[in-house]
Amino acid sequence: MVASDATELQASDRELEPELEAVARETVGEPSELFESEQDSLTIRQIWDLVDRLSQWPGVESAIKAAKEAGNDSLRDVVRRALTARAQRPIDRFGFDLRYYEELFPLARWAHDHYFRVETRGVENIAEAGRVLVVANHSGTLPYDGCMVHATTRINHPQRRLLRPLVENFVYHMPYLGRFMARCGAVRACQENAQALLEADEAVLVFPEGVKGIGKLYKRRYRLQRFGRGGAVKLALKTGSPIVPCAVIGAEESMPLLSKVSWLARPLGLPYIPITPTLPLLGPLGLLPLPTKWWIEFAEPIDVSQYGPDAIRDRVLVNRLNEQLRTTIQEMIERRLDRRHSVFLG
Amino acid sequence: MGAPTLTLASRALDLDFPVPEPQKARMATKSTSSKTRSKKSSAGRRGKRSASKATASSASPERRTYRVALTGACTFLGERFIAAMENDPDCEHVLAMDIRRPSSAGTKTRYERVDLTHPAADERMAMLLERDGVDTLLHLAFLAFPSHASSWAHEVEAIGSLYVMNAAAAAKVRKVILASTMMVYGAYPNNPNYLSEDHRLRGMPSSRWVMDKIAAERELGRLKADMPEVTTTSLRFGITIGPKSHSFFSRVFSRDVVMRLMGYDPLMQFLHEDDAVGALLHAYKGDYEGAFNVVGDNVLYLSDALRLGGRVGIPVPYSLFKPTTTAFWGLQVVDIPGNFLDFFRYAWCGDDRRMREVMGFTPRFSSREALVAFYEAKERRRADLRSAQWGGS
Repeated sequence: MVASDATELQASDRELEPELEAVARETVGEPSELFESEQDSLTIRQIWDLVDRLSQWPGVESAIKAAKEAGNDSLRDVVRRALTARAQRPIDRFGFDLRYYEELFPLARWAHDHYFRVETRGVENIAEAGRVLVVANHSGTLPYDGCMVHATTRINHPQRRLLRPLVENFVYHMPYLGRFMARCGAVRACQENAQALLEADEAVLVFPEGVKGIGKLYKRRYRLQRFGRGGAVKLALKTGSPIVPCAVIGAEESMPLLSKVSWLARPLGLPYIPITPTLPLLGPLGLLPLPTKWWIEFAEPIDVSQYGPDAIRDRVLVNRLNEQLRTTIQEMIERRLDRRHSVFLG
Repeated sequence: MGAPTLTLASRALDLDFPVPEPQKARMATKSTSSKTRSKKSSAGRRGKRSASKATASSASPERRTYRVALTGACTFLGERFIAAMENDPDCEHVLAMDIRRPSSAGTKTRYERVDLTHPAADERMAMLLERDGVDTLLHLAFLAFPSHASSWAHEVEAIGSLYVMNAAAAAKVRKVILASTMMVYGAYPNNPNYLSEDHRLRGMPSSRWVMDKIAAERELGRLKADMPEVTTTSLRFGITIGPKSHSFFSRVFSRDVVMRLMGYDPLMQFLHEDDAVGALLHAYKGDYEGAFNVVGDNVLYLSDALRLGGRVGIPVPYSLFKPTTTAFWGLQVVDIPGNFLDFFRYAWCGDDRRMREVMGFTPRFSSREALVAFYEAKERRRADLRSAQWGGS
């Protein structure tokens, strides 16, 4: 519309030109050299006309629109806006990024439902709200068991509770892995952190066996190691939180640890380098666990609030509770192992 | 063009100028007009003081007036504190000690040149504190940047703190406030996510800059042990950032392209500079014994902190980054010591419960807000520069 107007105007302009020139000659006289040169250059109207004609070419219009938008901001700002979009995600005190976690959870759900075919019992023993300390056995070379215990409570618990796993120091500070785990809700294992979580009425998942448990050889499978120095029990006593014993069966066979190399591990900051049937042989593919059948069972909660927070100084009591906890989990494992027919089929 | 040369000249003069001996030397070097002025002011002060005492005893016994002294008056905190005191009716007198005159000094402030590296600095400070009847001493004379002249920095920070505490003990000051930093805890892989005040001060043994801050804390503790009646407050400020202040960390976050450690992404806390000043004023008003972590609310991942300002992080592996940075620091090419990389590798966040519950101070800005305020100020300054350069286009 505009363009046609402009062409019309220009057409009329061109018609008028000889007349105008005649008028000019009459009033001013012959055009000087200076004015003659103006004849060749474009008038304002002609420029607008050119722009209008150009803007009708395909794609030019959208390009102009984009340029106008970018004209308000410099390129820096455009880049900055793209970058800051992710920094706006809220995280909690320990760096848990719920949206990041939700994006990744389908993967854990798939592993839970279809890869390990986890069967869960007694998940309702974890209270619907309030502080709770879930204590589980650790096995399987790589901490897939932590992921599965977490996933199973997330899937099967009536309140879809989020367990905050406490992870070993060296894992938490491993490049990329530690960052990934922290974003997914894991917290570095230490008394202060665990206490802060429990005081905020969170559900905390601990593996008191630590590296000793996850790194035990295949021939010693399902034999629970010492539960540290009773840190988990002390934590429960201090915060008055109930302990829910949890047994994981099937993780031992998913990555059978045949041998450990420790001399090469130390410079890398690892406790050991695992040798499994697949791990150094298949390269990164060896990090995948075998699709064994898993059971995860939760026992009745052990209430320690009767002892009071001062009981942590009673070392004998702490050790007794610790041992009691260990035997409870050991018995749960034995019971399930007796009923198991096949490692892969259940 | 004239102004910079002038300041340079005055600074050079400042440095060359010997620290005058307590009383006589100063009187001798000063002109008569300044002598009369100082006499007048001291007379006025005495009069005011007795008047305030009278009102305190008769009218409102709970209203207390303060006579405050501060070292490091030209630091960011010092300047802001003096500005606040100038407007505070409860404050009677400010004794500002530094090697330069603080720009925010007004009528209440009396500037005295004190060089903490001078061997007799403690004697001079004690004399000044006693002369002005100071009841609260703020020790703020700390360097904002790690210095290549580490032995000079050690003299200023560690030995200077010793002198300050000596002077405080000699002048029987009622309260001493130390501006410390969260860096005294050090960045270690086995730090809990939130460090409480009673956590061990491990610092960073390879960095004298950090260890000097710990030395200052130790001097404060020694003062408390010697004189239990003195209230000693140590404010451990987190990464203080904001539109006006400059520090090691603000310099890192001002860059558009930042080298960062590959695979490490610690949680970080930021404190707005106004909150740092607020905490200092709060600690000055009330009496709070012991150490306090002064940190902002919430935490941010380092990568998010960079992203928030549109900073581009280039990941560099630690094993490559540390030796090169150490070497370049040694050659005085870069301004970050190699061992400082740990502060970008492991978390060293502080637990703010004691600050909130015991001191009753709540920062107005969260970590994210502090950082956004900092970035926005940077962006505005950049835009101003650009418009000045291109004539507003």
